[in-house]
Amino acid sequence: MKVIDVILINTFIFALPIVLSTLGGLIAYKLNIVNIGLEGFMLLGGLFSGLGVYYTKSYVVGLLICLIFSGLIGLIYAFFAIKLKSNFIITGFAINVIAGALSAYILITMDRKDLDLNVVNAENLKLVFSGTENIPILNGLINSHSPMFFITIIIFILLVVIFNSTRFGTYIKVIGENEKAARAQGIKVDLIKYLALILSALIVGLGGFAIAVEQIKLFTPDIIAGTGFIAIAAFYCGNGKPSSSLLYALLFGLAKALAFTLAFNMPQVEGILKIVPYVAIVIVLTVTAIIKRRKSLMRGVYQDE
Amino acid sequence: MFAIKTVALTKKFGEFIANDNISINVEKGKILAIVGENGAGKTTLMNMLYGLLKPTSGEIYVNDEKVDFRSPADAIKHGIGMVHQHFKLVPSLTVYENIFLGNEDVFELDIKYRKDKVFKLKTGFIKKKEEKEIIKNLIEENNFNIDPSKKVKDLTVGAKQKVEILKMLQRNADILIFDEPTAVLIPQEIEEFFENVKKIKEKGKTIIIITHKLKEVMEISDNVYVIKQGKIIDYLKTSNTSEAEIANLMVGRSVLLKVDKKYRDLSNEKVIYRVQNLSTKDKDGKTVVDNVSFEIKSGEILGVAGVEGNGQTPLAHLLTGMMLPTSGDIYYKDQRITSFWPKELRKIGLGIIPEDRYLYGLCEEMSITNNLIASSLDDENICKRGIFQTKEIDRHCDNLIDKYDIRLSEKKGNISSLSGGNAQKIIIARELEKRPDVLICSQPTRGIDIGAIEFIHNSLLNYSKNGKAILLISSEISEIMSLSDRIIVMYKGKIIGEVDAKNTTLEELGLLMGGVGFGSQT
Repeated sequence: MKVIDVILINTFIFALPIVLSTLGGLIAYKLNIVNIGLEGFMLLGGLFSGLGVYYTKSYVVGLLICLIFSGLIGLIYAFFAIKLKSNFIITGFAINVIAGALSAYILITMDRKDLDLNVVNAENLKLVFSGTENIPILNGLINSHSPMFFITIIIFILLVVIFNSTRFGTYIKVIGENEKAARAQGIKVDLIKYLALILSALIVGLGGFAIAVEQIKLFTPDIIAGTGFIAIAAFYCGNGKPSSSLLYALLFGLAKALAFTLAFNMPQVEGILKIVPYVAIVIVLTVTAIIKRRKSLMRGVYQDE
Repeated sequence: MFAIKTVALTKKFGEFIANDNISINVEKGKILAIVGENGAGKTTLMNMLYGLLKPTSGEIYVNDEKVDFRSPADAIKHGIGMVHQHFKLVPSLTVYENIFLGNEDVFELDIKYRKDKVFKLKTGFIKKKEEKEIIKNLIEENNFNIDPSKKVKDLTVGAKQKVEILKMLQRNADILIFDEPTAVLIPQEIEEFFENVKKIKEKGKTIIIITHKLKEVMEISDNVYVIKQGKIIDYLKTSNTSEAEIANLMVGRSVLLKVDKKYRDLSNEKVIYRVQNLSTKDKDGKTVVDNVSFEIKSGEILGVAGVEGNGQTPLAHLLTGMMLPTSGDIYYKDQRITSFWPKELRKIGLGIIPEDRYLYGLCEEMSITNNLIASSLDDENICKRGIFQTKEIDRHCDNLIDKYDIRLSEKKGNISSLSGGNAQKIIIARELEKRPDVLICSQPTRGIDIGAIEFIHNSLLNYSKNGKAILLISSEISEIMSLSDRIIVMYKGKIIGEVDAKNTTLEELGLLMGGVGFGSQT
């Protein structure tokens, strides 16, 4: 395989969980909630899908269990954020902490260091379009993707449709922008928030599933490794728009893939290369902020409008 | 039968009685004006009629049917619509999306079951094309001249109000309530608004307008309720009354509707503030202030007139250090002060009264005291080595509250507990007390009641008498004409003309504001 194909395939692999987490996170972001608990949501998604797969040895059952528990976690988060009016930064932080602790605790009670998820042979699930394996770049683009890759594409299209042409999506945007106006129109603000946050958690949970079951094929409490936080940067840079947030998520995926590929070839400096994706994020965030500021001669006004 | 009838309606907020035994009858198909001072309880009354507040006691009847509104949705069901002073629109949505918000037209799937039974499943997909078409027709029907697919954030204030009106018409509201509808409109838009209201009335709808602009009451209403301190004091037929009579009832004393400006000879005074070829761009790169130059002498009030959106706001931002120019300079007593920060400007002797009082002038969620001392924190008497001198501050604030006639509902309250007029007086008190030599003053009386307007006008006039210069930017032509010595008119970012306030006419100014430049240079 050509290097460029390797990088492309790696980009998709690294970007996939970032994209899922970004898409989920941006739903909450549209509600004006920056969910810093994405990392924890993903880890719990990975934990429950891992348990599901480990005990049933079935990809589909693992997926279902992941969805059920992710939805439940979303409901809990929504309950705190809406009913108890908690500070969602602190709630998100709590979820991150609890997710790590719970994963470690469950592994200890099972008397294991990790969960081996190689029981489902994910390699067999990968799709290769026959006849295209030897075409450079195209091979990298369309081949050897896992089922979750296609699920992600479907989710992305669904989100675009939801935000552009459904009542639910419109209400989410309205609530995020002007909650008072939404209430004055008789919109059931709380209900929409619950539904949106649960949907958000489901998608983020799938990100955990992708990492644990499809990619590493192993569950340990540190598999997420910052993916959730990168997702926050992605939807923030993309201004909460699905398409541009997706692009930023892919960009960060590319940065990770580059670092990984380079480290593979230059093991001596592996440690330093690991910081490449994070440096990339800081640079991208700085540049986007500067561009936003440049347009305006106004002083002291950092927000749009 | 009355469209709305209230019987002994009372609303208490704790100890405070906002509405006291209010019984009004709103005649069907007429325009009713409700007038009153700041905090008289007009908006509280309307909020009860619209279901936003629950009455403490009393009854409301709509078309002779007793109602008990739990939310605006209930009021809307009974055909009541309300346009708030601050519009409840969503900026990023289009006109038609805003109108249909909460009431969308969605695709339905017919699911046949058994034999001939059909279950209509609402899909949640919005019929965008159909919605747009309906609104397009509605707009044409009313001659409103707005594009239904434009985003609300790109509309002028006048157009936004039209969207609110369309929203009510689309929902077939029979009783339309307007809270201070003309407060944010420019003269041309006010004319247009009145035309539209009259047209709506011809359709047999009932209209209630809350206002304190008496000229408008006279022009548009059929009947007037005067409300003072939460009580109805009088019910008048508009054709049988006069502005002066209503003003008298409302404020409890005769109000000078015209200020008494004495023109002085300023030819010997020195130029204290000078702006030279100032230009700037907005974030889309459009030149919004274009080569503006002017001078102000000590003791002079220079009015800046113009239809809103012709560069006055960015000009004010430039002069007060909120925005950077692309070229040009500002001089104060021959010192170059271009791009000084607001704090530096205040330090060298400028006072700033910003256009948007809640955005740039005050901190709404902080106490009145903190807002009053906000520009004096460097003063040793107020803050010594970083510690507030509480006693001195209290004395200082009590003094200001007294001197500037600021009416508080609670002594230690936040700015948000004050009415617009009193909030503005806080800014006036804070800025004038520093005795600046030049006062940059934007829209000082926007959206406030006549008592406060009168007070602020007199404060400004008295202040200029002491040899202080004032730059008065306002879209209220009568205010500019009655206070200024000299008037410059802005059009598309440029100064299109300059006139002498003593000798100018409304017609002359109107032409300049419309872009026809022939102003005599003085």
